[in-house]
Amino acid sequence: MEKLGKASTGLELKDKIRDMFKSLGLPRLIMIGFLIFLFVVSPIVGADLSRQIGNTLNRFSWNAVIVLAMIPMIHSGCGLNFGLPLGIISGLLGATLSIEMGFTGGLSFIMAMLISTPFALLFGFGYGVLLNKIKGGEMMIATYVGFSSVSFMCMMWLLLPYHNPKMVWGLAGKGLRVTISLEGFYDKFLAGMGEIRINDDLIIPTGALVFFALLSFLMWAFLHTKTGTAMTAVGSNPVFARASGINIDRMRILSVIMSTWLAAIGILVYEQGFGFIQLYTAPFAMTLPAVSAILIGGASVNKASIGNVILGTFLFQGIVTMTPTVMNSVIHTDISEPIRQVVSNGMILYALTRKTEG
Amino acid sequence: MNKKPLFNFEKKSLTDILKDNSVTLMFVLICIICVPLSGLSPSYLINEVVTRVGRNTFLILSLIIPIMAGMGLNFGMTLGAMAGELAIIFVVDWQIWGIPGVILAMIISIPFSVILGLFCGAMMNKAKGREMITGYIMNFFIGGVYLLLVLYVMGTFIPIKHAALRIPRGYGLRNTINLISMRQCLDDALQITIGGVKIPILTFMVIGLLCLFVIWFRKTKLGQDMRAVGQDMNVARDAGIKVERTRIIAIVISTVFAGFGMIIYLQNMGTLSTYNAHAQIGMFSIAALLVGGASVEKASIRNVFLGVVLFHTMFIVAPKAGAAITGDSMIGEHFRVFVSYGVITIALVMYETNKRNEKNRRNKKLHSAKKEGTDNG
Amino acid sequence: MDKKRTFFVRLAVFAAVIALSVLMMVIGRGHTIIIENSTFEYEGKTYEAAYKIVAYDKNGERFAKLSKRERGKTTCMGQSYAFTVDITAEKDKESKREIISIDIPYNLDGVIINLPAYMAGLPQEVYMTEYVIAAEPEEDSSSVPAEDQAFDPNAIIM
Repeated sequence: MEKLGKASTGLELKDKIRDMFKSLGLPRLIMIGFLIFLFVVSPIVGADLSRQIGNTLNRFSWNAVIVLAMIPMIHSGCGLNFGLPLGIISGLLGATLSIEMGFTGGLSFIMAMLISTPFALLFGFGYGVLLNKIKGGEMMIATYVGFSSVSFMCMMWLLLPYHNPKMVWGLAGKGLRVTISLEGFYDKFLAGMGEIRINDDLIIPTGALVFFALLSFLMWAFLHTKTGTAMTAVGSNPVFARASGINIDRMRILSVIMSTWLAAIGILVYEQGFGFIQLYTAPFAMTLPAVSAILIGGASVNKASIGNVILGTFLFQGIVTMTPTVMNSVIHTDISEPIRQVVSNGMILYALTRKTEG
Repeated sequence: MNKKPLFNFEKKSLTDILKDNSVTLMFVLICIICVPLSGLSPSYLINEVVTRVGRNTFLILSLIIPIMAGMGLNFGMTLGAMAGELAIIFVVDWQIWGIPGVILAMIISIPFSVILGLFCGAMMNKAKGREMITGYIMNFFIGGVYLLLVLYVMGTFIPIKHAALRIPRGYGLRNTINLISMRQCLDDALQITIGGVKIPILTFMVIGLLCLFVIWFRKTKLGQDMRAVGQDMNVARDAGIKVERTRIIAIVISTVFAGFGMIIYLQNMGTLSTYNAHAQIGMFSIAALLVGGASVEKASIRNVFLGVVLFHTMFIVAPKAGAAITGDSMIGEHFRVFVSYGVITIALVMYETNKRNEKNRRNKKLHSAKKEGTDNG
Repeated sequence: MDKKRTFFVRLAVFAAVIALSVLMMVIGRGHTIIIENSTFEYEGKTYEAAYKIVAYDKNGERFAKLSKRERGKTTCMGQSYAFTVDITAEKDKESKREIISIDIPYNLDGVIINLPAYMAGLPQEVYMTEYVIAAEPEEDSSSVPAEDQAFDPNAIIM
C-alpha cells in the first residue's frame, strides 16, 4: 500500500483515481455505491438524514475498536480472529469486577480497562500457544475456542460470587443479570467527552472517536517498528521471516495477545456507547459483524490496514443503520435483517474463497 | 499408498488407545456421574434416549460421506436442514398428511438440497483446506436467504394458502408451525413396546437403510474415488479422478440426507420453529458424532450410534444433574452447550496437531532420505 | 449406446419419483369431515334431523354421537371416505345401520356433511358444504425476528 502511494504521486489524477478504484475492488465499490445510494435516497423517502448520519457515526464509534482488534492476527498470518469472544470475555470480566469493587463514574471505565488487561494477556497467551500448535486450521478452531469460552463463562456468570445489587438478580441475590445498565458507571464516558451537539439527532461522540484514533495511531506506529514489520513478515512471507531469524511462534503469540487485548478494550468502548453490559451469549453476536466489517473495508484473510478498519466499520455500520429506515419508508417492511445477514456473511465467504490467498 | 498413517495398529499401546478415545471415555464418565445425580427413573431415561436416537441418527449419518471425501465435518449440513424445513412447509400448506406427507416432503426437499449442495460444494472447492469454516459461514449466508424466503417471499410471491401458517399481516410465516397432521407418524407406524420402552421400528428401519446405503456406497467406484480424494487430492487427480466433481457429489449427498434427516427430526418433534429449528442442528449432530469416537478424517457407523446414545444421555441428564449439584437448572443447560462446543474444539485441535506432527515426520523422513541419497552419490 | 441407456435409466427414475410424489399427494391429502345432524331445507322441502346418530369410523371406533343440531368431527386421508352410522330416527325406535360413503373434492380442506340431506338422497353439492378451518390466534405478535441484531444477542448464535 505504502509503495503504491509513493509511486503514483507523479501520475495524473485520473490514474490515481483508477488505482484507487482498482485497490478497492468490486465488492467494496458496490458497498460504497449502496451506502451513497442510501444517503441520497433517505431524504427523498422522508427519513431524517441528520439522525441517520448521527446514528452511523455513533455506531462507528462503538464498534471501531473491536474491528481494529482484527488487525494484528491478520498481519501475523493467523487469519481472521473468529476467537474474538475470548477477548470480549476479558473485557466483560474487567467491567463486572470494576463495578463489583465499587468504582463508579469515569473511574470505573479506567479500572475496567486495567482489570481486563491481565485477563486479556493471560487468555491471549494461552490462545496464542494453542494456535501455534494448529497452524493452518486457525479459523475453525478459533471459532470453537470462542464458543467454548462463551458457554463456559455462561456458567461462571451464574456461579462466581458477585454481590453488587446493581448487577445480580434481585430475587436470588446472586448470579449476574443478562444486561446490566451502566447508568452511574461509565455510560457515554468516552462519547460524552467533548461531544459536539449539532442538533438533537446529530451528536458527534468526539471522545470515543479520539480514543479510537489514538489506538489506531498506536497500532500504525507499532506496525512500523521493528517488531511490527517482523510480524507482518511472518504473515506475508513466513519463509523469508524464518530465514531472517524471526521467532515466528513468538510473533504469532504476540499478535494474538494484542488482538485479544484490543477486543477487551473494544467491548468496553462498545458498552460505554451502548450503555449496557451484555453477558451470557451476547459475545457470540459480536464476532461475525466485526469480521465482515474489516473484510468489507478491503482486508483479505492475510492482509489488512487501518484504512480497511475505518472504511469497513463505517460502511458496515452505515448500511446496518440506514437500510431499515430506508427500506421501511420505501416498501413498508423491514427486510434489513436478512439482507444484513446475506451481505455480511457473503463478504466473509468471498474472502475465504479467493484463490490468491494461501 | 500408505493408508491411514494416524492409526498405526502395530504399536498401539494402552495409552494410545486411551488417547484416541479420550473424548468418548470422558463422556462415559460424565454419564456415569450424572445419571444417578439426575434422579431420573431408568425407564424414563431409556425411553427418552430411544426417542432421541430415532430423531437424530439420520442427521448424524449424513455427516459420514464428506468425512470420507476428506472434507472434514460438514458444517454445511444445516443447508440440508433448511431444505427439509422448506419442503415440510409446503407439504403442510398443501395438507398432505401422515407418512405420504413425510415421503412427499422428502421428495420435495431433494431439489432444494441438490441446489444448495452444489453451491456449497463449489464454494468449498474454491476454499480447499478451509472447508469447515467455509461451510460454517455458509450456514449464516444461506440462513439469511432462508429468512428472506420465509419472512417476505412466502405469502407474496410463493402462495401460502392457509392463514394458519401466515403472520396476520398476510405474508411471512409464523414463528412456530404445527405439524400435528404428521406428528410422529413414522414413529407410531410400527411401534412396539418392550418393557415400557417404546421402540419406533419404522424409523429405525429407515435409519438402517441409510446405514446399508453408506456401507454399499463405500464399495462403489464413486465411494472408492472419494476415499482416494480424501487421502490425497493430488495423487487422486493423477490417477484420473475428477477431484472437484467427486467432492461436490459428496457434499450434495450429505445435504440431501441432512434434508431427509431434518424431516424425520421434525415429524418426531411435531412442531417447526420456522426461524431457528436448523440453528443448532449442525452443531449438536457434529458433537454427537465426535463423542462417538469419530475424528475429522475418520468416521464409521459405529461412531454414529455410540455417539448419539452417549451425547443424548448427557443432554437429558445434564440439566437435572446440574440442578442437583448447584441448585440452578440453568447451569446444566449451559453445561451441555459448553460440553458440545468443547468436544468439537478438542476434536479439531487433535486433528490439526496430528496433521501437523504427521507432516513434520514425513518432511523429516524425506529430508533424511535425500541426505542418504546425496551421501551415497 | 451406453450413454443413451444411462439417460433412459435416469429418465425412468425421474418419472418414477414424479409418479410417487403425485401418488403421495393423492393418498396423503388430508380432509377434515364435519357431520351434522340438523334439519335441512331444500327446494321447499324439509328434511328432519334424526333423534340420535352414532358414527363409527372404518376401524369401528365411535367418533361422534349426535343429538339434534349437533356436529361431530373426523379426519380422513384421500378423496373418498366411508363410515358407518347408527341412526335412530325417533325416540324409542329401532336404530338403523347405514354405510355412508362420500367423495371429497381434492381442493377442499374440510367439508360439512348434512346427514339428513344425505339420507334423503340429495345430490352431493347440496348435502356437502365447505368447512373453513379457523386459524388459531397468533400466540405471540413478536414472531418476526428482532429488528436490530446488535440489541438482540441471540440473533446470530449458531
